[in-house]
Amino acid sequence: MLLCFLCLTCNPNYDMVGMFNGTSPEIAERFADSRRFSDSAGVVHMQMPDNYRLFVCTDSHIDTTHMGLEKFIHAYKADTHPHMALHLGDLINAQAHFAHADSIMRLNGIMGSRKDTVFFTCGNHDIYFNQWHVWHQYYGSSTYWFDVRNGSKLLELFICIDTAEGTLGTEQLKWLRQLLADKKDAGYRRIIVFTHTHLFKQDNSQGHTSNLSLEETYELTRLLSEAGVELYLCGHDHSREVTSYGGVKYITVDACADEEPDPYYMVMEMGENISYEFISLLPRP
Amino acid sequence: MKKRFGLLLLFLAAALVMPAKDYTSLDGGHLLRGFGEEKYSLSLMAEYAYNRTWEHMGNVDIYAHMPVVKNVQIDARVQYQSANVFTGALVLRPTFDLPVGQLFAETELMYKAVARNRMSDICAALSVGWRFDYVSVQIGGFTRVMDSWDRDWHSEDKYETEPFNLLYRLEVFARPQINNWNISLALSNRDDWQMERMWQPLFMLNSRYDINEHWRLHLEAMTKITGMFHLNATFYAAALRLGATYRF
Repeated sequence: MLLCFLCLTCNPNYDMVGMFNGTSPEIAERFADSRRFSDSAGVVHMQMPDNYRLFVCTDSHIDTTHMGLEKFIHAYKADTHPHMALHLGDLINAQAHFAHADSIMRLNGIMGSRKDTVFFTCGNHDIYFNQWHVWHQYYGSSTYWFDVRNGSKLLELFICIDTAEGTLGTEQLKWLRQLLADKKDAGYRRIIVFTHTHLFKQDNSQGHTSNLSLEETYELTRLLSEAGVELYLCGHDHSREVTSYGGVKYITVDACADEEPDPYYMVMEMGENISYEFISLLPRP
Repeated sequence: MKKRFGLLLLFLAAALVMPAKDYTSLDGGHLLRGFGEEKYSLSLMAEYAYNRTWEHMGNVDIYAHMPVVKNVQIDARVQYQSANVFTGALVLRPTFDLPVGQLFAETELMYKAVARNRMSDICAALSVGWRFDYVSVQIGGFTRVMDSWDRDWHSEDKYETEPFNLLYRLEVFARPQINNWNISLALSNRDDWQMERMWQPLFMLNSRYDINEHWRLHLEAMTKITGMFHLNATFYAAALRLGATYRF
């Protein structure tokens, strides 16, 4: 642990003060900021046909390069099916890279006229060096919900929760519990929760990526099962993991960062049934 | 380099063949609760605990320490949490007296019935440690299996395993073990009631005071910080325990 600490200290991209006390506002304040933003912005209702595609990428860790994210954007834009996308956090690697990441998306038109087709959650890297306010300025809320409809027919309910510092916190958990209770019998085809941090840890594929605490893991898994949530999508671990627990499928998506030896993103076919495919970002032979 | 390595080996060999001193300990090895002495003891503790998920709780802890033969002890522990969580643990601990300190090995099984969430969490741990007067170190590994009580056996649902987690504990003591009181500060990813993931450390402040040869008082505090290795650390949980031990 000491060795790990010393190695991390040598890397200017790591906010070592945050190891002892997070430099961004803690979850209760971020949740309050997010709810204020969402309440004023209103709820997004996406219109889609019954069958559409969901593109998912995570952990792009934009630093000085942005190849992985740009390839993902090109693939997303080139797709002719009705589609939308999720970014599961750690958009940037360290400080002062939001402008870079945002310019990649704006230059490629993904955040222009179709701005609300990409939904973001914040990861731990996104709030290093007291950058919550910057993230908040760019992307507004880290705790929100939106739904996908076909006319008046309800399709999917998407719920984004903020786990950037390894806890949901008391207020956000209560909000999630109430939202799930309200929406459970609303008639959605399925409910999908997405966030940054994974709940399970079947291997030590990326050593130091910590999870939520055990108590929170117990509580959240039960809450998702009881509410009939079908999918929990997350990143953080940089390594793919697909598991089913309590009737919920938990998918940890591989990172799409440039420094990853084997970067992927995921495409999900949404319909009465769902299927998914992980697509490599490496050049094909 | 070779010379230094040879000297180190010589020192270790000498330490192992020297006659062990008669090790009289009033502390509980890495705990302050009766380990290290060849007497049965029973402890009862009341606990106030808080975490951000279950919020405020009152807990009751019972410990039994049983020296079955010389240098082999069994500990049994049970806890009731008002959050509707029940925990039981069984520890087998052989010890080896050395000229300098005492080696110990632990085999531990911990079962947690999280009734409020209708699931169980079972951990099996193997570890070794070395206790000196002022310092105790322990390192090992554990396996965890989490399972829902409502698992649909005809679906793709499965139990969740964590095949290997590192277990560690470092504790420093203010007084030698023969003193009738002691205070310690510990860093570990486990305490008597939980085995957290390796990157979720717990910080503990423990103390004991021996009133007489039968009665001992304990005051312990624990805090859990989450997100330390996210580099976004924040407070998550705390507990305060007060109790007494009776030594037979």
